[in-house]
Amino acid sequence: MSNVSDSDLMMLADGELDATEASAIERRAGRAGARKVEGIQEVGGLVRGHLELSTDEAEDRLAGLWSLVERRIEADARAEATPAPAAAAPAAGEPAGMWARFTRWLDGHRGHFLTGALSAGAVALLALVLRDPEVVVKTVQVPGPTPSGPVAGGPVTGPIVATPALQRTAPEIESLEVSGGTGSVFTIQDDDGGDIAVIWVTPDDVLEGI
Amino acid sequence: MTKRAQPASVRIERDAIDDRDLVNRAQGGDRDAFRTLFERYSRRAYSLALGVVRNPDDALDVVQDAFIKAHRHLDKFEGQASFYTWLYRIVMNLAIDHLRKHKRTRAVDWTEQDLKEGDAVGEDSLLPRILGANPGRALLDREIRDRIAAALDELSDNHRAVLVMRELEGLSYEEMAQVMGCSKGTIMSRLFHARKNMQKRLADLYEGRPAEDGDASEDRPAVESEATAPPSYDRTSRS
Repeated sequence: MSNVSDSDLMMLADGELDATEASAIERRAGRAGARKVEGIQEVGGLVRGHLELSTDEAEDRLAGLWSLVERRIEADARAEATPAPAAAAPAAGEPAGMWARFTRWLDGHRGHFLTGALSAGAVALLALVLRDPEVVVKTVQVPGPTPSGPVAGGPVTGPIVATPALQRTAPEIESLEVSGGTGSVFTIQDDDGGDIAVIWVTPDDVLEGI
Repeated sequence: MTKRAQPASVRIERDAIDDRDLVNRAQGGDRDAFRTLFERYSRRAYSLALGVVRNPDDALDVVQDAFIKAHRHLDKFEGQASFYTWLYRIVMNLAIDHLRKHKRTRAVDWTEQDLKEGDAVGEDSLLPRILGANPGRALLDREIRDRIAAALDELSDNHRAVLVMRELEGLSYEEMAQVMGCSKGTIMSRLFHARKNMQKRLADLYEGRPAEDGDASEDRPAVESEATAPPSYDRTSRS
């Protein structure tokens, strides 16, 4: 059995040794060591080969990727050219609702957040264009109010009762595209017991390590 | 007249000069120049991202985000490293970030201690060659490819990231330590255990099967296809 450690053989296989060290290890490793080095190289070959073949399978999708990249580059350029929206003036006698409390909480945090809230309403498409980052909510599905009486199979004869707030649900956001940041969607409850969907956007920081 | 092939070093140098020119033009707003960089490196970036995140859709997202980020920060690129070296760091950061954000429940790396030169790692260690001389041919077998994919999936995120960086990009331990933000010893440990686990998970596939080139223990030089050629002892030089 070779008296060379596996870590030395690994360094030899990975080219981490200088020429003198490498030949000394090779000499001491003998045939058993050489076969372990081949084993290391074999794993490398399999990983590379597998990833190469998997990349071949994605060739068509990769070819279509440029149009998406270009679209986002254009969105960046548009966002740079768009002036920032004026900040909403604080209303006198700020309401004490959940949303107000939430925005106050946000104000208390020093991070740079851009938020948008969607209450349950007839919104089919919403685009919030902010300077940086740009946020595009592509599709928003809003569940309509649930009728309280039977509706199927005939005209509604009784009164249509508005859905109580407790039964309201937040709109369902199918996709959120954020250019220049990371977006999250979460739901909070308002004072009436209904739900509000909140879009939380955190802008990209300076590129790590570059 | 026979056209002589250019040596690899000349091609690499020429690509680097081309890249610098393309980057300069892209920095000046030339969209076509940036597109050429995309076409040149998106495939390589995808392989790297796929190796780390393992899901084709997620890998495409990572590549897309990486090129957007590269374009956005192109003015900060000063050309000290090659464009691809800069790009792969962005890809790796995004891929690792993706894994953190979509953290799945998985085994903790109990093997996270540092490994140093000459460390004994016990008898349960690296295995010799198991598949025979030509992994390129072995990869034509769908079952083997599926097993490799499953073995990669089962590695911890950190182990897989290090293995992919080393095998796909030929990064040195020091360079990987910088990318992963850990010590060189930790990189060695992760790489060692990643390889060992890959070998263990693939070994049974060949039990009872003769190796393609006969007895793998024979002292015979391996013949590799270009796509699957093993790394040479000398690390691939990169700028």
